Amino acid sequence: MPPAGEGEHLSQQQITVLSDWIAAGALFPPDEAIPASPSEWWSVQPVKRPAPPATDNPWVRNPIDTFIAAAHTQQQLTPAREASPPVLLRRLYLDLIGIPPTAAELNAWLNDTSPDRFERKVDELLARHEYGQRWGRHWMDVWRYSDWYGSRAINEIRYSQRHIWRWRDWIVDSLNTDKPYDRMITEMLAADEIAADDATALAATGFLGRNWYKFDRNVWMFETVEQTAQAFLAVTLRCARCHDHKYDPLSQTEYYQFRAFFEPHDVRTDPLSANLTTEKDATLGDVLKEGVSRIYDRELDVPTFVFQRGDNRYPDKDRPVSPAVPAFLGGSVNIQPVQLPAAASDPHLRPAVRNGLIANADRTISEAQAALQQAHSKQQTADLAVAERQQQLATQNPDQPARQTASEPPVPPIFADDFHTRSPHWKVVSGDWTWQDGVLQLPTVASFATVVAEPVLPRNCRIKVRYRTLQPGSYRSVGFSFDYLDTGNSQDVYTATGDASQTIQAFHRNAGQQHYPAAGIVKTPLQVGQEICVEAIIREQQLTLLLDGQQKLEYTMPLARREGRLVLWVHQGSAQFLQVEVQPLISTLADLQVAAAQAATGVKVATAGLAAAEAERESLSCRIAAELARCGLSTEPHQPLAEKAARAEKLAAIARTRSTLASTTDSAKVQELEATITKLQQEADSQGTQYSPLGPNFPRSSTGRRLALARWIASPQNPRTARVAVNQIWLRHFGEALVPSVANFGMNGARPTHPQLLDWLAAELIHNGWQMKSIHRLIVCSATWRQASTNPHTTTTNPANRWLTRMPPRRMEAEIVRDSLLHAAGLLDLQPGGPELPESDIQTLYRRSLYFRNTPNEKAGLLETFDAPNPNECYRRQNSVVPQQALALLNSGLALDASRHLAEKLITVAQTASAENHNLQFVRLAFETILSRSPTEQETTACLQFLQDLPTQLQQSDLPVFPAGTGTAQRSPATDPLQRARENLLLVLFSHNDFVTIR
Amino acid sequence: MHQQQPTNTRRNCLADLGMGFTGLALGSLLASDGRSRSATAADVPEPAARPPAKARSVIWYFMLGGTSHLESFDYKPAINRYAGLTIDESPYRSTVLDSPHYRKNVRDFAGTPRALMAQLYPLQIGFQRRGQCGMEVSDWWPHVGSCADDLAVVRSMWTTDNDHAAQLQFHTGRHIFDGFHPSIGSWINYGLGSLNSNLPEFVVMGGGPGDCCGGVGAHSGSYLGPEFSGIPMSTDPANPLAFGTPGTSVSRIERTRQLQLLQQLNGYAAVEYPDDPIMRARIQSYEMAFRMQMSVPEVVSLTQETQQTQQAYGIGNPTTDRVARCSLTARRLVERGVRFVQIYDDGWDAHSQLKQNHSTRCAAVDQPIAALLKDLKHRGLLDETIVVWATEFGRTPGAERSDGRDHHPYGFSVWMAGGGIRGGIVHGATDEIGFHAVEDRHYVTDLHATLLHQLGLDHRSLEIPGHKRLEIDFGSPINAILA
Repeated sequence: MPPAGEGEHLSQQQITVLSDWIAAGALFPPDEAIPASPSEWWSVQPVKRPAPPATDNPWVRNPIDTFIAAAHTQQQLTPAREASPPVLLRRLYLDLIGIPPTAAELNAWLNDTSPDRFERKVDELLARHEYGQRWGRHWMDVWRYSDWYGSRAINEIRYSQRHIWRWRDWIVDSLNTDKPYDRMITEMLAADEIAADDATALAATGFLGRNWYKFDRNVWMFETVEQTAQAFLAVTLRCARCHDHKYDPLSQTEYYQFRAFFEPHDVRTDPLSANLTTEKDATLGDVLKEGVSRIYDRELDVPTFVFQRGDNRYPDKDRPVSPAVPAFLGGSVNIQPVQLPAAASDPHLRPAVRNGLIANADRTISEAQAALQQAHSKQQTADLAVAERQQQLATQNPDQPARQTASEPPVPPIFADDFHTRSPHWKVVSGDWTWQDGVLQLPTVASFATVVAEPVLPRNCRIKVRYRTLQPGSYRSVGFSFDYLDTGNSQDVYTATGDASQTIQAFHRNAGQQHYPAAGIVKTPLQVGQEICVEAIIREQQLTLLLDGQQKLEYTMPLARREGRLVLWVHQGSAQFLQVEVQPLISTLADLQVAAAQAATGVKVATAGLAAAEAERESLSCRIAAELARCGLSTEPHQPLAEKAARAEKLAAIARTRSTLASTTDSAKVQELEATITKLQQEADSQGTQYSPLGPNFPRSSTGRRLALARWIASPQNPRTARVAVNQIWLRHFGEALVPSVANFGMNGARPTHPQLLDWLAAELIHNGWQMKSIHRLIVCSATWRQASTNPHTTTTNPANRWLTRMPPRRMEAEIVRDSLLHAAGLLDLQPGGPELPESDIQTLYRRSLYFRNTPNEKAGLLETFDAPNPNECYRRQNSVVPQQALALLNSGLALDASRHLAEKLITVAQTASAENHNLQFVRLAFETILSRSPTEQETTACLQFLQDLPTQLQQSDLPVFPAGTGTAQRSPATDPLQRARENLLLVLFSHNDFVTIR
Repeated sequence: MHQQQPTNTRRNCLADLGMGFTGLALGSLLASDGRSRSATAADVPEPAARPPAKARSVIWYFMLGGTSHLESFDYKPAINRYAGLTIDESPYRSTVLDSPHYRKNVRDFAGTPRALMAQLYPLQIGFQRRGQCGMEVSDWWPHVGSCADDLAVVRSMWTTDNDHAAQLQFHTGRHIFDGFHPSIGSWINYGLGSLNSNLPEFVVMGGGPGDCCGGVGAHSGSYLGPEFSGIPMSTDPANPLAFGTPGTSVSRIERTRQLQLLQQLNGYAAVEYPDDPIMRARIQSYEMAFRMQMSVPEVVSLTQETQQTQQAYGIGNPTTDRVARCSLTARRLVERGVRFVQIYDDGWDAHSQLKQNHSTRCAAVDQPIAALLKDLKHRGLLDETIVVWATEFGRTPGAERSDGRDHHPYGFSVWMAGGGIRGGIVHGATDEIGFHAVEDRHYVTDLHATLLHQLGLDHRSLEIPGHKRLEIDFGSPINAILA
């Protein structure tokens, strides 16, 4: 019933029809078939291994064929001939590893005369890591892999999990190692309960983590429940969310009982190593930058309620339900709580993490030791310099003062450039810098366009820069840095020639932050286009600025000097640099004394720094010892270790404060720090037991619910699991499944076309320890799979190919189109694994397609055109034929680049091969490389004609071209018209139906 | 494309599609015979029940962010009368809070309902009666107001999402919590197929909703398949279509020769595989692609229009240029048989500075939309084209901050014109301060049902196996506004 005020009443006529029908006895039509009892439905019967039909049919290669042949006999059908060897090999490559054979692989195999060349090739391909990438993508479809998404601009996650790619890599690796399917299911649903200390296995729980939805736990849970049932069992549980299932014997209560398995679970991210660096999520705050996203049971006894009419606002609180599996599938679950190891409750105590933390602390100590040593030697050098100068002064004639003022005779510059030629000293960091007509110019406005000079600057020096600020830009900030370490660390001098105000200014950058002290800003009139000379005289912490010879600023640099380089930069403006000169200054005694005093402070700071590093190390190891004891990982009693850890932690805090104190001069700050130390000391002496754990703690046990569910699903007795899996595998070898409704084995789903074969394969999977490679091998070695994709005998008798009298030709999946194109061109990067790549780079990065981001919101356009998987639900791919696919293959930068690249490669081979017609050789190679077969005579003629005609046409001048658009081709076409025609030929072959078709 | 499969009933075809057989764009296959999908199959249950088609195309304007109904098409002088008072202090406390609709349907993110914007905020613009019919339209819409006699304004829309994912909801009929479903444009594309053979059937212009709010879901085919999704088109003549041009490094002679060679080679292969209909479909799709590549630039080449027409839409005026180009392109598209043209305009989310925001946005869209209505009418196209103006929700009668209005899903306005829709009428009403839709309430899918009905589709028979549609997904045609 619709709520009051909504919907429409039945019309009088409708009411009359219904009433009349009821009054007449509510009769059903006499010919209405009475459905079989649900318990008789095929997909709830136990899997029994049927005996393959006995046969002496010579066509039969293995048991699969006996079932298929039996149906052929029954239907009076003839199978197709075996596909030609080149077609077969290409099909095999694309089917098993998702890329076509290279021309060399093709020819080697065709020339192989051994009788088992096919079977050996099958084994070879199943052993290649590309197999995992190819089949991993299939299972990612079924298991709904989605990269995380949200509001990327503010780094806010709303859906799925960061680091979810580790689950993708787990899928690929699991397939490559032929991990049994029952084990895979168990790890995906409950790795945290069976392999809590195995971070690789934990990544498998991404199967559940991908359902995470920031805004609504119920949406997340609905998805988890429904998609788990559908992926593994082909049960359409969703229908029972609001009411009892209309087709299958599945009650609404059973829906919520199924949900109860998942009710306690939540997601979290565990560190994998001592790298605990975080990044800011807009709403979650600091999150680990590196880690594994995993599932765990957070609330162990949280109840599950039935939602009335499926509406989460109306939970039936009187009737909590316990976990149970749908009765109609048989079997039962035995739920046992699981005690978890410390690795689960205290992930920071994992050896990889805690040992790494200790190693980091040790490294900090070594660095502090080195720093102290360096400070000591600096001090010695500085002291020695003072002593030497004093001695010089003492031995000098008192009537002849030593050179110790700034107005000394000129010292030759250590670095000078008038930009007449481009000096190799300059390295561009950013910006479009050009050297021309005796100037170094930044013509386009940029943010901190920077160019760095190679030599390290002397500590005390005079830097002179002549330049001209140009019109474009807003701030028109032009200047230079010294003591430059990188763009975030330097001392800076610049002029700003804004329209409203102009200044000459000193500032500094430290740890990526820019600081603009008021004392460094001097207003002074400046004009755009005017040539100016800025001079900086740098002595220790003192900076004097001169503009065109006029002193403008006398300034004490607040940031301690560091050893670095000179850079020129322009910010929000453009400029021409005319001259740069760096002249060292001879230090005065006063300078030397300042340096010596600084060096002495440096020793103090370094000493305190080392003490802090040592105390930190001590604190860390005490806290680890205490935590190990608390978690029962060591036999020592916890209490004394806790006391020791508490004290060590305070002592470390004191040492840290002392280290800060060593470099503090401000007296108020000094007082404050000393007070802090006194307070910390009291706390350290108080014999407390409170110390900071290494990271968050989680429950020490898990409900075992998901493990029980996983064991029930991954059981040989479960009537669905193995059947669903082999059906999915069959679908992906044949383009059609034995049960066409792959995600619905219920009573409104389809029946198997070959029920005996399905059961035999399911039994075989179980018999082979749930390992999939054996099933692949059986399938591709069958005569059924090896048929040609055309069969003139059955065009009318088996038009929809229900009885498999030929191999149905299939279009490659989106990823395979792109991967094959790149691979044929010799460009594909087969490197496995790693974080997802931006979908926007799909045309320029040549990694395999499964590694690019794919979320409900973000899909690579190129892949989307070819029906990229919908991460929310893709139990089988769409397989559309739309004009945009043609446009993508003819116009995308990827296809153009690949054709141009490959043409260059092939003509080189064609020219070295023999003295015969190079074009003929090129056409052969092109067909072998792209279509994995030789051209027919007709095709050769057509292609040669094309190569003959097009170059002439291309030689006409002023050829009308296409609009620029946002074409992304990176390579230009060949300048030689014939070579350009060859590139065209390859582009055509990449668009050929037989390229995108798995025949 | 005439790949008829006579042995296949409609149901079987659809079942095949649902199971991912091959999206041979069945709609197009059938419609190229001049018949709609539903009319073709042998076993359509009640052919008599199908409404006759009154229109053949739709142009759908959608204002992203939420246009204030109170300052556009739903005049509420009572707000001015009690401006500054809270709803509690005004006579409308009970009207608002005791309504059976208050917070009842709304599903908020993270379960925290948005606060009630309590203090009534005066209308930021005046109203005038427009046209013969005398409907009230605000002074921010003078041009659209001048078309009042062609408009059917529905003032009683409601939706259930109080955040911008209501954008997705308006197009699919479902709250984002229920996931992604086919958009209205996709259903129409699916149900009717194409009227032309060289253009996409469902075109989208203007940037769509952000990722937060459904993203491309608002014009995607979802489970109907990608071939029914809207195809984004830009009005930039140099680059109107994704992969629409190979760039300047390819000459037209090369492309022609490429196509010739390609079709020649595919033809040889087709002889070898006579039982591969997909191959023949692909060969045809290449021809279609070639035609699209040639004809799409022509469609967006607005310089073919007279100076007078361009000016009428506001082309060349920086304020109106963007929407004007989309609008004129939309006319050219429906002229050439495109079924559904979706035009987005973003930036209506006036949480503050409503006056500044809405006056600017209205200035950008008012003239082009009105020019389109007049142009269609002038060319006799308005009879067969439905123009829809909609937004995801209205804005609160109460003030947000000092000078804005918050999201408001309880009652808001949309309008339709042309294609057998009655002109010059106002349908439905909100309460006296424009809070709740109280008369003839319509959920968003009623609008969808109205379109489908006018296009000659039975909105209740559009279903595909395996995807159960809810009652709310169907909606009911708004009969009161049909001519």
